[in-house]
Amino acid sequence: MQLSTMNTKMTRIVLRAAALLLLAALAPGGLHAQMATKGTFALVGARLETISHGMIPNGTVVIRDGKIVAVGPNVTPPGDAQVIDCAGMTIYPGFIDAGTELGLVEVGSLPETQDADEMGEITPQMQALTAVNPNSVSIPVTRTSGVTTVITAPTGGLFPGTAALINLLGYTPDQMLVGNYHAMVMNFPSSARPWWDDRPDDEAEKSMKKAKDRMTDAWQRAVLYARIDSGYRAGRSDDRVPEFQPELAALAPVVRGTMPIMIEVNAARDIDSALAWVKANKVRAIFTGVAEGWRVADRIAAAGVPCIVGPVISMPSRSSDRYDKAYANAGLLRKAGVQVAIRTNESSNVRNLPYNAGFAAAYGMGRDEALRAVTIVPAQIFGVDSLLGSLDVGKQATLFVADGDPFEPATKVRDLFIDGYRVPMTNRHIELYKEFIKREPGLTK
Amino acid sequence: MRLTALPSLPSVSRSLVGAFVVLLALLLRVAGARAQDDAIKENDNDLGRTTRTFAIRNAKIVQSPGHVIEHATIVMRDGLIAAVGADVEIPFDARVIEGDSLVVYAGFIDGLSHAGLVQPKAETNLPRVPKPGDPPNDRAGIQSDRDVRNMLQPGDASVDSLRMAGFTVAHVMPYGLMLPGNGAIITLSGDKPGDMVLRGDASLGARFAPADDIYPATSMAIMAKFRQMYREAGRRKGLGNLYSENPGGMQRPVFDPTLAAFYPVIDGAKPVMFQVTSPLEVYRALALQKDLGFQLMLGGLKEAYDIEPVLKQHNLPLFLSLDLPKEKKNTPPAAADTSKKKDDTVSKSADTSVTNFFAERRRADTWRDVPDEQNWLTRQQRGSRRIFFGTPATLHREGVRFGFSTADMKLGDIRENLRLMIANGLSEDDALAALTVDAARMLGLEKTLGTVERGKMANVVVTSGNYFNEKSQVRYVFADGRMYEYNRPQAPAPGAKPDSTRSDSSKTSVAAAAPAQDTLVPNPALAQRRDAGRRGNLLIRNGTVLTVTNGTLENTDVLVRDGKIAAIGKGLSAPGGAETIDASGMFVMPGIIDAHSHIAISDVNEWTNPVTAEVWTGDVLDPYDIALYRALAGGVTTSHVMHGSANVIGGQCETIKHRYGTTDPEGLVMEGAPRTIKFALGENPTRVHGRGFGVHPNTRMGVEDVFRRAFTEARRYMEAKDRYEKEKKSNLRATGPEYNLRMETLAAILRGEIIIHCHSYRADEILMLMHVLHDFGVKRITFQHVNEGFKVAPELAQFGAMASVFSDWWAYKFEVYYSTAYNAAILTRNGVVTSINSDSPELDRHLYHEAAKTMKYGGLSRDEALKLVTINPAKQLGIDDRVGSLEVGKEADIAIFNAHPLSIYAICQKTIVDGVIRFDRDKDPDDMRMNIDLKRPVDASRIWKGDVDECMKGTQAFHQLILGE
Repeated sequence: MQLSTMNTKMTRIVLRAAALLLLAALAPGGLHAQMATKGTFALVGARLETISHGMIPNGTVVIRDGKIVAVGPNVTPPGDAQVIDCAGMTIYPGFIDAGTELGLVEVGSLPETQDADEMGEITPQMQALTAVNPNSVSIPVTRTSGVTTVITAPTGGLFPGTAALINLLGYTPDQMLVGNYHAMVMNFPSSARPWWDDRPDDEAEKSMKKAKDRMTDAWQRAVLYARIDSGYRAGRSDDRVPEFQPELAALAPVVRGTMPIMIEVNAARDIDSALAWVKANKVRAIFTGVAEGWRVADRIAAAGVPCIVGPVISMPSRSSDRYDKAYANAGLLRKAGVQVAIRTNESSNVRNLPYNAGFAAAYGMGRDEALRAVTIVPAQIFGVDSLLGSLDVGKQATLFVADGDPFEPATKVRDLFIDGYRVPMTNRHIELYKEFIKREPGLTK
Repeated sequence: MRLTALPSLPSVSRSLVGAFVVLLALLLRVAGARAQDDAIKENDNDLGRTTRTFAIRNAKIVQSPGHVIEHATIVMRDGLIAAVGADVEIPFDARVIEGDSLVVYAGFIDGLSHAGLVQPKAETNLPRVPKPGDPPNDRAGIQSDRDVRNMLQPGDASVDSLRMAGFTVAHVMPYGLMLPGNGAIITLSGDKPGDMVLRGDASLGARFAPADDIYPATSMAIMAKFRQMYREAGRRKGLGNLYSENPGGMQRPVFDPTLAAFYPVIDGAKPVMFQVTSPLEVYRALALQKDLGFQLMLGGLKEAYDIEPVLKQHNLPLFLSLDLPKEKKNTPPAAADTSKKKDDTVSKSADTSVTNFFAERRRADTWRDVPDEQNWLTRQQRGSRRIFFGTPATLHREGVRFGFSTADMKLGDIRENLRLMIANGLSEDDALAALTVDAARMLGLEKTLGTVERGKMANVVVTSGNYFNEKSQVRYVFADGRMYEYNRPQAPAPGAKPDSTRSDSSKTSVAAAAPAQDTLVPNPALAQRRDAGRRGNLLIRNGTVLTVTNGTLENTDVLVRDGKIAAIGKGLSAPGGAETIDASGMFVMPGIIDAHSHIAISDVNEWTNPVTAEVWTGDVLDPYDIALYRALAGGVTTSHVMHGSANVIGGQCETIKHRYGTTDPEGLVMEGAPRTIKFALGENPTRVHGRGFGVHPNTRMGVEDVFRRAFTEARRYMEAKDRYEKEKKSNLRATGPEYNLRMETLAAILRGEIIIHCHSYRADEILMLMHVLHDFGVKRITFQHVNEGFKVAPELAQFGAMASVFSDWWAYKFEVYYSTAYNAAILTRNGVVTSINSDSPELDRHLYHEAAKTMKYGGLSRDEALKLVTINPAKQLGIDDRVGSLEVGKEADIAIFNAHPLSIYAICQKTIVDGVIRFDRDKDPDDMRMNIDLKRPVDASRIWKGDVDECMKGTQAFHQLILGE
């Protein structure tokens, strides 16, 4: 409803009354009204984008004990279910942003509110989950776009620490963690410069070589550490107690292949180097960023390394590139057979994940593949596809109800569930809107 | 080294002595580097001058380009050429040089040089300037009171280095920044500075070389400072004359030597020598000349190829830099086999063939096209380098004459670079003319220098063969009648063949010109680069026309004539010759307008002072910025190119049209658009000035004080000028206020001639500025960003202020933490004219998408959303009578999308500016650059990071934040 269409005094009075009721709801006594609620829900009469088994034009989803217990066209809501009429609506599995700093960074220019970048080049023992602020104002802001789940990752240096997969609901980081998923983050030494870097070529080349040497050295030591540690654990009498090296201890599971490693790599020739490195060291690699992935898409596909691409809404990496190369990259990688998920690499505007997917869809990826790139594909990459990524019985009830195509900016998310909790669709942006759309007092007291 | 003396010594002491001799030799070499070890002066061995008469007999004498006498003799006596000819008598006192196989040229002339000057070391740990906005002159580079004559060092190595390349005369300028001093013409000879000077006070030097973190820290401020100084110098000069005629009863005009240096310039007695390195700097120097009307000389120009017509039109004394960019290695095209040995050769040798398919489309659509693309870009880069090297030849063909400059280059590269120019088309005669007669004429030296003729100064170069042959050597240089000998041949060993280097080959031996395939193939932008003023004719047929002001019209045609919308309707027909675009199934909307941008300018912030109203982004437009094209690809046709937000009162801004393809900065300007200026509140100015420089303002209270102070001063300035105008009528000796460009600009704001665009975030500061403006009677303002505008929307509406916001950016700093993406909707609903802007070369490419978000955040209608990026920003820039909607009579700035532009699936297909298609998704190749970086490999990558405050570009705070400095 638009205010401009309501001109009668009557509507104004009604509106004022509604506003008063709202204020009452916001008052301390009514705070619980804003809390997530758990129960048995039946979402009826909706279009279902199941991802795993196509689109169901008119179906029902039943949620109980945090799980999807029924999905389909001929599902009868159980007697105890709270029935939610979803006529004209579409239900999607919750969107997964495969790369963010959500919860780690609150305000961009205030170091006091930033916990993504620990000092030092090699700090793999840092854990993003430790510093996730469950009460970040950005989290509810993100949810209202249908994003329910994100990778939140530390940044800076060579090995900044481990990223965690979190649901955007919980009072503690542990409650948010999904599938106990942690991945080591690595920033592969980069020949691609940030856009502001105007150092002479030889200087840049030198510092890259230095970073590569450092990487090689750290990795060799981690391999040695893992061998000593394995021997010690196996109880072999001739082996020594490993030196106390928390950095190397943190890398050991990556060396052993029990923990995946997310390698941030962007320039084509760096991707080639990274592919060689992955092959030589037999790590479980996931590439992130991959800005020039399309140039070497055949080789990434052949190596079978999954890619987390983004932000999609971004600049091409070379001034000679076609203007839309960043938009097209995800689709080009997919067409070459690469497993592609999409990320925003954002903190406060992770809410734009659907639009990043939408741009990828428009510039060659197609809507279906783009939809998969923010649902089932990241779930598969993170090994949580038994929990997330599609509307299937037995999976986590992490999904949302939208009044249209969620990639379209005009679409609104009406309802959202995380792990079976119905999460109120509000946030500070909406509350400020409600308070200020028609301010009281206005110009005069 | 007399090593022959050693064998008689015992072995131990021999080695000691040997070490000593080596050490001594090293020391001598070091010393020799100053005196140039190769030079043998006429007074060698401390013998002093034996004669002032020299003769070169039986030589080839090139009197001037094209005029050669074989087997001729030249006699030089007492510093002048006494005789030249085939049949010349040699005086008895002459020192005779047998000229068999030697060639004699007129001594070369360097049009802009630092020869004879000691290059100052980069000074570190200079004391902090307490007021960066008002620094001491020497730190700011305002040294127009310096005279190069007082700085000459005849023994400096540079004199001999330059002479060794054949130069005998140079126009020298002190090292320095914006105004390094006054130049002189010197001869590259003499023992005392005074001996060297042929003409003093020859020019006033100027450069676009900003000072380090103090005013003027940008080219933008240099432009303003130059205007300020020139105009105030004019005023002072007049007053000075009056005062010296009769000082009684008149206020004494303060004498400022930095201004006094301008007096002869104003009188037309002394030219300004602007050292310009790029075409953009040429335009900037010309803009100043147009404003102020002084005599202009250009020196040190490196990339002139885009401005041949401009140089031709202005016909100024011009000295091209002899510095050329060296070819860099390019990574060979990515190959599957990366184990292959590294290719260390310059890519010249690599095969750079491309498939016909690629050559036709010039698009890399998948990984399969990448080798083709790399080869193509390598060829394009080489083609561009060829054009660069061929520029002197092109200029000559166009009838533009020039000399050369060696300022700020490695003097050892001179001859090689000349050969490169010749290999790329410059004839040897023309090269020689540039080194001699043309340079002499441009410096007003043609009566005494430039040719080998009787009566001219005895300045000649004697070479072992054609100067432009790599194997030839300079053997003697005569400067002002003094002889310098170089490269004395070793006495040939008995039976050795004659030295082949002395053969007089008439062919230059530079590698043959690059293969023909390395010809630059212009993209559509380059193809129309001389076409900025074009206005097109078009018929756009059968589209869904989103007029913005008159609703949506299905199946409708838009007819464009001479760059304007001539008709909107059904069944229109194209006048003869007009291109027709079939827009069936397409959406036709007005070109998008970005009310906040920092693209296409080479400076953003003059961050050194809280008030810099005098600077202007229009002075530093950069039409080469690829961001212009990339924005076109998102439907943008007009951008408001703004000063940054470092200062409370920043610089004036420029409204440009995206006429990508023009190389003339003026070609971008939207003619007649109202003047605008940038203000800034809150964190940025207090961070830069308060926290950064330790000067006022440090708080939002201080920001208000800066405004009130500046406006009050401007008001007083206006009053003083008014009083002066009145007083002048009765008192010819009235003095009036000093000319102040800053105050002139502020006064124009108070008179309502400039629209304010104010960077702002918090509600309180927005209210503050409205109070200030109310008190000073200023009405027209658009608040920019204005993230908390929603909190004071009724006040904004009441004031008549407008708002230009982000769709959803927030939390990037504390003052935007309490933001809402519903801002645009709340402002719109409260009657505030609102636009959505980009402030980013990334975001401006999808402003249509940013506008679409307001349908989600606040439920705006489609038409309301479209207005946010079309007619509303047009209103904010005062151009809504010309652009911003599709109406008959408006300018034909149009974007065509394949779906409704507010849909995520919409892709812009064509963007039209003034009826000219400037972006065409179907036809344009990948690489749409206007210039190609010759210094970087073609596969150099840069990764975009979006969360950067563009508004703070240039400032220390920006550097600290982004570069971690």
